[in-house]
Amino acid sequence: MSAAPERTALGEVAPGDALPVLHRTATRLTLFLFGVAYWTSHRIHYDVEAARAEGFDDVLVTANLLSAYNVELLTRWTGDPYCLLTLEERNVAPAFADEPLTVTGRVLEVGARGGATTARCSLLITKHHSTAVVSGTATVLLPPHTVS
Amino acid sequence: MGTNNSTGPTVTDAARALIGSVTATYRSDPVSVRQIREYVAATGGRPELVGVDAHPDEPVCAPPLFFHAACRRVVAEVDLQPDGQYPFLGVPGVSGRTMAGGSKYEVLGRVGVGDTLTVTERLQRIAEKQGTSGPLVFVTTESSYHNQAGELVARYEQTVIFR
Repeated sequence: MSAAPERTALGEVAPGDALPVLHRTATRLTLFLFGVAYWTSHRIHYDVEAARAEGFDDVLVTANLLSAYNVELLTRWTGDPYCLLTLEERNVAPAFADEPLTVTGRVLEVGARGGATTARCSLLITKHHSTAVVSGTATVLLPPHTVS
Repeated sequence: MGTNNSTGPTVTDAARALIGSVTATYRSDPVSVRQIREYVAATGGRPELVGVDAHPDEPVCAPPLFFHAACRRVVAEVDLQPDGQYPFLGVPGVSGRTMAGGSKYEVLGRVGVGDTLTVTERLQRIAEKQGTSGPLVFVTTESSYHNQAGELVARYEQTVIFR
């Protein structure tokens, strides 16, 4: 696949480890592009008047785009674009176009599945440095030799 | 999904009766390189790099969550609700303004160019609650995605909030 993540020096993985932080800002142009690729016709993602009529400040970042940002955080960390096993998210607050987002994660536990090593991580996307947008957890496959 | 309703969410008895049953099925068109490039570009990647590192004997594979985009039904404009939403998303009989509540993805296999996915969506539950700004309805569906060989490649659970 194309979006091959930048391989990071993963080193040894242990509970408590913080994943390298990812910063993303979904602009209105981003939301247009995602709307095409994802076939999202819901007006709150591209029509600011419709979004405001529903009580929002601006057009909303699509939830599945936020999911993709979480996946990017994980795949950049492991260096494996296919590392994702599970991803569970709760949408806590809306994110609006042009709001800088900070995507963070932390290793909760290291385990095994079918002979492979896995890591379960907590995830949090925030805006304005502290306002939670999406919280969740994910399980990923780890490359060999990453557990002490 | 539901109609654009400014007076609050509504749930019919017919909708409640569907809990536990299959409410939608859809078979995707064959996955194309173009589709994958669009998804990669839309999520911040480089579309021109799609497939450049793929083995010549193996299909070009898509990012992990692409399966969900591949199975989004293409709907005519005249069939959309005034707010642009689908007439329903596996939940006929629930209406109101909508927003995402949460999701669970389970990735079990890769999706590649040429694959055709079949999604089967089941209505798990409808929860009616009182929020700080009025009544809310939480509709949760669970979908399974099989490829043309019958292999289960993903599961997806979604909660949509109607308000």
